[in-house]
Amino acid sequence: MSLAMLSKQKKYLRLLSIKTLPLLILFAALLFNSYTLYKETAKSSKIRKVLPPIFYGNKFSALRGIFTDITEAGYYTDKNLDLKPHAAQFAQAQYMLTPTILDLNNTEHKYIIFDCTTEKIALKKIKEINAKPLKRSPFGIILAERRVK
Amino acid sequence: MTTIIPYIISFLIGILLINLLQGTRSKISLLSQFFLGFGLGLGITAHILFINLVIFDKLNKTATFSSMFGLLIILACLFLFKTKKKGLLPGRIQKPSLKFIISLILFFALCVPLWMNSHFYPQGGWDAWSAWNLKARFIFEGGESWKNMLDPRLWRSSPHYPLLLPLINVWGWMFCKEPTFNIPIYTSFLFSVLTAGLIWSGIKEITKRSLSIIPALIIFTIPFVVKLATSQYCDIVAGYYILASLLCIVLAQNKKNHQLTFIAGIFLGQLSFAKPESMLASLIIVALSLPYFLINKKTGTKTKKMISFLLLGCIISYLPTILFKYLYSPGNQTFINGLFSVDKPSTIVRAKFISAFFAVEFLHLKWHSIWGLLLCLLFYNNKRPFKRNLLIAPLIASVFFTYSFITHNPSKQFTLISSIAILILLLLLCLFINRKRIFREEILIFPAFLFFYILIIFAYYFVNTNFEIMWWLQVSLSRILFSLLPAVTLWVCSVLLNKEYQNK
Repeated sequence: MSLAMLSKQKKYLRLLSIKTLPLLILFAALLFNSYTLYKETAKSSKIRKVLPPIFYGNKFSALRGIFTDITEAGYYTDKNLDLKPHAAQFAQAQYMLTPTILDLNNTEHKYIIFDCTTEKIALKKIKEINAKPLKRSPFGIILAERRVK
Repeated sequence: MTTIIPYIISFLIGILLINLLQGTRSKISLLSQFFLGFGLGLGITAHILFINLVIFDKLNKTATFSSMFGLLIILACLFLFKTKKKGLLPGRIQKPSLKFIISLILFFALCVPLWMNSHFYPQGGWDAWSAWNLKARFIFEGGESWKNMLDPRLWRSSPHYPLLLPLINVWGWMFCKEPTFNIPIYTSFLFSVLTAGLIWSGIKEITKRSLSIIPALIIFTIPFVVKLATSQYCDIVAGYYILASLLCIVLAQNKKNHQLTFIAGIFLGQLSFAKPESMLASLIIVALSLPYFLINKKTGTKTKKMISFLLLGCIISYLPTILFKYLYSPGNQTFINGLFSVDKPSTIVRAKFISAFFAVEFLHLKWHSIWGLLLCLLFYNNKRPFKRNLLIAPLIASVFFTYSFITHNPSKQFTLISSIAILILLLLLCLFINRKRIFREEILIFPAFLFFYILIIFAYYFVNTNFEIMWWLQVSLSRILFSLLPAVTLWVCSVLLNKEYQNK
């Protein structure tokens, strides 16, 4: 074996020594992490091109113009808020309609949003509390106004 | 284009302030100034906004713009006066080395996936639209009714949480007609980049190594970390300010620069205004910095000056936090003291769950074993890798032993507890053996802070029995650990990469 080859071998062995071990581990970690991040990002990017992110609060965007001077409103729902999508919809409704406070299941306010499983249930409740439907969104959300006695 | 103007103003305020507050000798590098200055400026603009909110009882755009531009003009004039007087304007900028250029290219490459991930969920994660951005919208659109966000009916949005992140987003919206979704995206992206950059510049500042970008790249290429960083939550903000305050304290001590302690004091005040647990973190750091400066021989006669400037910075910067806590915060609506509660008492079982969950969380694959890696690197000593660290192999074996019992035999509580106990004992033994390197005076504040912070977090989980513990740990513990990850990384790399430490 020539001297040049021997010195090359020594050089490579030095790279694998205990002193360079943490550096090699760090580089291996970096390569692994970069690869997994690339994969995840590429996957999410492909999904986003086909499927936009779901934001339930958009169902309430039409009400934003109406709620400009209203500080409080009721939010009536018969949905189970222990289930994530329903809880998310309520929270996102609040987010969309700031600075109005949405008072959960309180029908004493002048304006009440009805977010029910069916329109029939919502209309039944509206009639029960002597309110008048004002606006209905394409997503089944109904805004009602209580008739003052 | 108008959306980036607020960030530019914040950046200029921060960078000018850092330059002015630093002395002429022992300055920190331009890179550190950049990453520290940007965060400092964002925090200051949030504080100014809050003070305006308190004075006018609503968001007053005229007063806000006047304050910001006024401050910017004053700082710019002072900066020009200082540089003219002392002739510090750069004549020739040093040519950057090839390694620095490569680091910079890698850093910009890191920004690409961070930018992309920030946009996958434009409204952010759950806490973004249910808490942080919700508060920001109340402040921006509420007029005098902005305080409605503190209504107890909005308990789900944690009304007792301080307002640093919401106010930064409000500042971002100041040049917009309405609260657009892109500002919170930019803010979360910016803090992710700043935190990665601060890890890079902090390690470079302490260790003077050219490969200091690597740890930042490793951390911010973990998909779970990227997801948390870009979810528009306040955890990345808390992580940034924890890192910034600790870094400034250590650099102040290293460079005997008391002005840096003043900057650290300001960062601590901003940290206290981020989240309730970060308020706790800032108090711990303030409490630990006093003995830290006292025991450190490097500071010498400047110790009193260091402490005075730190406390001065804290007094100024804590003001918004104190005002918020005593004038506006409705208090924690979700706290039950389990030590005195009959219905929901704190029990030993709760403590066991918390301990086990900590272990499970550290070992979870979503972290890509970063905690294990950092731990092993902490004990690594290239001069004497095996002589003093014979316990590393059984320590690693204990980790796998414990993990396999947790995952395959969850019912064997005794074995689980004894495994965790053995693991902790081995860990303590390794820490004791390597104490001279790991707990050197210069960086002692890092492990001291981490120890007390984790201890208090554990105690809080134990005492507050309002929430079901498994659910609470699942939704919160990973985020708390995430906010500590930058500081832990800086500490470990300070031990590992610093040449003089490796001789011990």
